[in-house]
Amino acid sequence: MNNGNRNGEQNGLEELADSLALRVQELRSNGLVKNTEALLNLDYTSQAAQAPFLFDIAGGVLHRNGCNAIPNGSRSTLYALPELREGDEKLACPICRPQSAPQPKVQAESASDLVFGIISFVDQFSSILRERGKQYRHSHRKKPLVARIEKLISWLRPFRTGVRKIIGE
Amino acid sequence: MISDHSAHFFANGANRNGFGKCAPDTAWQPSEAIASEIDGLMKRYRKSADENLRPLFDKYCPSLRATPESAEYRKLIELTAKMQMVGHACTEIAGFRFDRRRQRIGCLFGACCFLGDNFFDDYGEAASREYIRRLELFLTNGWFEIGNEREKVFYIVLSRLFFERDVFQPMLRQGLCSLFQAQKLDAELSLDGERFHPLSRPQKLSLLRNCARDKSGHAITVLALFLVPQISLAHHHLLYQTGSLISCIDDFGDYYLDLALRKVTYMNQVKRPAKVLARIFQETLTLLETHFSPSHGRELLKGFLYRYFTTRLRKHHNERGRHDAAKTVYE
Repeated sequence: MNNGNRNGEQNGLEELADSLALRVQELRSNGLVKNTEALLNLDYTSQAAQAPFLFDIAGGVLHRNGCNAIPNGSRSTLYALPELREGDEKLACPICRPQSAPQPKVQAESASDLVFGIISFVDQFSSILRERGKQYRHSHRKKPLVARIEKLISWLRPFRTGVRKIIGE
Repeated sequence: MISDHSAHFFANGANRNGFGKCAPDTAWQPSEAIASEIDGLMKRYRKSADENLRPLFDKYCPSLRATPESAEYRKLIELTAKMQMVGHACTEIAGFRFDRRRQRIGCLFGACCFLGDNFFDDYGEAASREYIRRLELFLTNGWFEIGNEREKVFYIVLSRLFFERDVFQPMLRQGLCSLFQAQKLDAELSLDGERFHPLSRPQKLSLLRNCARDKSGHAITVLALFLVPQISLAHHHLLYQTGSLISCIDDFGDYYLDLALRKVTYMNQVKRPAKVLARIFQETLTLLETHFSPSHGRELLKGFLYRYFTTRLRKHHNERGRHDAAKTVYE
């Protein structure tokens, strides 16, 4: 495939993803989801409380969670870490001396959460999606979209096996 | 622990005279080869910024490019070119190649920062508060109310950026939230000045200094994580300090503009800002020299910081005494 085709295909996919992203936001503005329902939550506060390590990125010091030697001015520069990597111990706080050891698992979002998130959307809005699908089937916009979707599906093919494993198919 | 700042590679202290003229009074400066390479890279990254962002803005926010010489669009390109330059250095320091994909990520992140700053700073108090609320909702719920084309392009830029990496990676998501918190505090320091009146002057300066540190510190952390998710903690710390320096250089350049806008920053509150900045510059470059292994990436980063410092020194000098709030375009 030459560069021009690849770029064209990439642009097409990006525009498709843009439209999807914009449509997803319309779900809320059109009142199709409740204000309390979250689409994506990046806040890590609750997981951070359980994390075994805190890295003071400004001071360059790695602490155990709860270490008294963490300076007050570093409250805004702490990153909670669920585990250590090779070399991290060089930055260890001399007071609390954090060490790598088997840690209780911090609950982490994973690909399966995303998959189940998508499934929950499809489940919740299946009737609307079906109706939209019927309308689309008869619209003049169908043809170019079908071609794009076929490309998208072929692009997604390598992930299919992984997704099947995640949902336990 | 990284604590040894004793290896001074500056023959003469930069803080001896401060910066009364338009060149940093430091003994260190980049080699001619590095300076010339950075010059070429900046030209290349301006072009790359335009190529990556023009189609996006043409489609979703044409008003920002209303005229070919639009100052706003030029500012966007300059910021994005710098973001790529810093991203290039970070990527090489971590042992990777700053390829086309990473350039694209750098462009998206540059556009995201440009628009985010614009929302916080440019539409008055009520709008700033409203954007704080909406961005908080976006980070904690994923919902973003799109009211105009600038908000639309911001949302599209964010969604494309989020598509590039796993945004649930613990450090990346914390970086994004911490960056927002630092921006929020920065805005509140100007919006709710009375809240900070009870603080003593040293307490206020410490708060402003930390705010400046965290704004660009978390920003460079997020950029580095988008570019090289596996970057080491030791490198993160050094890049954070680099971000802190960038923030001070930036605020020194915007000194008169910020005063005109009644925006409070560490740089416009501290006595003898030029001297303070010279000290921070020297300390940061010593830290990078001492703790990063010798590499081309490290030299690019130091060379870029020197260049950025020089341009903002010139800006500060040129804009001395101005009282208007018009924005000027500098590299």
